[in-house]
Amino acid sequence: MKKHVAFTITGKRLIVALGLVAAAPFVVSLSGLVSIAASSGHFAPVGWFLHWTMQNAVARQSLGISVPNDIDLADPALVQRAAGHFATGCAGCHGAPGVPQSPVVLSMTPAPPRLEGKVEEWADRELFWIVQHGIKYSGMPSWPTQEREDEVWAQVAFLRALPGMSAETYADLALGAKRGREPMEAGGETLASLDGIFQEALTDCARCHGRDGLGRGEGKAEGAFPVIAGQPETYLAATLEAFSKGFRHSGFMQPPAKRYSDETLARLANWYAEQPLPTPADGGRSETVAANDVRPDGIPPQVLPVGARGTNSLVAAAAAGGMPQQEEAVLELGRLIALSGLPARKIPACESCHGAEGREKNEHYPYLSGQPAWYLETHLELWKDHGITRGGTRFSHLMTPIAVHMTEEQIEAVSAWYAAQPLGR
Amino acid sequence: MPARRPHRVTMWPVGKFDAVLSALEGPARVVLPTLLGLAVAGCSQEQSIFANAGTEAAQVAELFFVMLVGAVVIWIVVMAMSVYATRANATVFSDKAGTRLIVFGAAFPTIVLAALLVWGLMLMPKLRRPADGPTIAVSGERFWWRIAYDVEGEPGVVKSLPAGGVESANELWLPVGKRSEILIGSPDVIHSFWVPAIAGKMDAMPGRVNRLVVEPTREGVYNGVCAEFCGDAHAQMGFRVVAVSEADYAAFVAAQAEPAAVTSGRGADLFLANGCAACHTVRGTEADGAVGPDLTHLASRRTLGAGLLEMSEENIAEFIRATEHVKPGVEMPSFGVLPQEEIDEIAAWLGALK
Repeated sequence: MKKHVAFTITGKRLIVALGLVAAAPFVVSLSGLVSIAASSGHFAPVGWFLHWTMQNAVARQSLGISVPNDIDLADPALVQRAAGHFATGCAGCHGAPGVPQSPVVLSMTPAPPRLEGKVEEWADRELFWIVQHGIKYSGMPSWPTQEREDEVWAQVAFLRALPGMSAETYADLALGAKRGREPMEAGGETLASLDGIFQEALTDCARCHGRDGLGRGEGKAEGAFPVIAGQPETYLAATLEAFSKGFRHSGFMQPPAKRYSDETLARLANWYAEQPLPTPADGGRSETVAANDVRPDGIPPQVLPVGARGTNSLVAAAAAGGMPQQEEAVLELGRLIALSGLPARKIPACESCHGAEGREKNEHYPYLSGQPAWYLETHLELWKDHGITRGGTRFSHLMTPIAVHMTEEQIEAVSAWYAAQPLGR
Repeated sequence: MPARRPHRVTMWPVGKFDAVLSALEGPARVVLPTLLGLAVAGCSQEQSIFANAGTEAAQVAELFFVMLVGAVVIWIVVMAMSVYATRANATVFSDKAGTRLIVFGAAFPTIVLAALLVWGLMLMPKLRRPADGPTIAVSGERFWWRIAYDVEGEPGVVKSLPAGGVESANELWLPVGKRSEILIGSPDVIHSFWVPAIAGKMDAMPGRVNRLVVEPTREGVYNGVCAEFCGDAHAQMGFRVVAVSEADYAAFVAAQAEPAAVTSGRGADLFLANGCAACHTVRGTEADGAVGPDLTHLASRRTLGAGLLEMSEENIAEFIRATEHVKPGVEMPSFGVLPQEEIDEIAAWLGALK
């Protein structure tokens, strides 16, 4: 015989029921019986569900990301650039070639996986998303800044190179191998005045920048790092301070700058400021533009053939910021911008501050000559980007209105020209 | 640091209503002067077409008054006719009278407007007469005016300014009684050159050069403005026009052609050290930047920041320290990172560049 239970849903009962449902989690939580122990691991179905949620989120939320045109993930320079950060930022949990994972990290729930076998499971865009944003509740941190996608792409390039990387290669790339660890003997360099922490900090810097400040990376990886040797000490100290305090954003540089005291940073600035450049800076007047090189309209003849200099093409070229086609024309445009600027486009001459004379007057201005083109380009683009603030020394905001007025072609040209100049001129 | 308040240039004829004000009582004391003030504010000032000091502005004013008086007369006649038709003699029209009214209603405006058109067209050739005075290049730039005196030859297309000439900014001197030719261009966006008391408007177009002939008829100092929205600081893109005798004009241009009065000292050193020279020129020093205004004779100008502040050492310092605060949208970055003492040194030097 069936029993019928008569139950009428009234508004009042509905509210009470919803209230109970809402209160239930708090009761469970308050009871203190929820298992949060890492030691127990996840209940298998729960573990699967959480992992599945994560995979779906990464796959879906990275849909809008694609590898930028100017990024080649197979570029050895990118691998080299991110290797040092991998050693201090990633290897501690994930291990690395020749570096086992500590039992400590293996006792995490979830335990961080070794990445050699994992990176192939993810698309480039997904790796980028994970490195950029991190994963909540898993212990995976986000990139220290959200403003440096260029660095995240370098890290992705490194991850792509990770499977099959030998322990020796890794040690060389990330730890500086011998060159970074040992003081150089030639040149009378001594460590007599160096104490422990400074020595350690210098070794840390040298993993990427070398003890000589010229930057590591040879052959195809050459120019992976900006050159810091012989930069003005004031500039280096202010820049390290900006990294340390977070005014200047970089996932690579903020962590090491934060590791050391202000005093140590000051000594590092002093060390690198005193490192000699391979070719002595000439110290004389910077190159000047010959009068006949620049036409009254401010466009160098190489950029636009004389025959095509009718009013219409001239205006179009000016509106587009010039349209250099060949490498010579690109360098010529870069030279013009560096030495004379493009006043009609509100771009002053770079050399007025960054040339030898400008640097002499204000120690906050770095030299640009001989810096890798990617470095100059990346930072001009950062200044140009309205969405982010590219900090640095207290003078760094002066670059914003300049970069904003530059077209991408002009940025490329001036970076290429500086890269082709003798180091530290 | 106590905030300094830059003294702004006043354009309101505050003192002139005092006499009227004291004769009033009650609410009228507030309401009447306000309405009166709003109605006529500036009519006799340096930015008014009614207090004109140039042939073109005079013609426009004349055209305006004729049209105003004519419109008032026509309005009164029409109103009188409608009162007559609806009140004084409210009878039914005959068909014949109605037809006449329609014909008249079509013919009268046609005749009046045609006459205005003919008169307006007749005024134009006078405005386009060839110049017999100096040629001056004016480039509207976000958000100031580049000016080069006594330029020669065809203007450059890209820079909108001819090569040569004596460069200055934000203060345009003109000889009275001469028709000066103003070549107007722009390197960035469209601006419009307008000196209500003398002439204008004329657009400053990127990539082309417009020509405007102006003929001041009375000595004095007048206001010019940018009359085409060009960005954040559009409303702070003013300039002064100084109309003087031919002899004074020649003397002025000769003085402007000279190098700076003071070319060394701590202020000058700091100016060069901090990168100001990348954008500004001070002739006689290493500073040869061409991005911003030429500062060789900055202190000789009446205003600072394109008509924004009175020229004074204090205001120069404030403009350097808090540029983006004083003039929001300005292209020059603030130099508040410099110690106040250094800013004051630079300002003192610039303030001495008469």
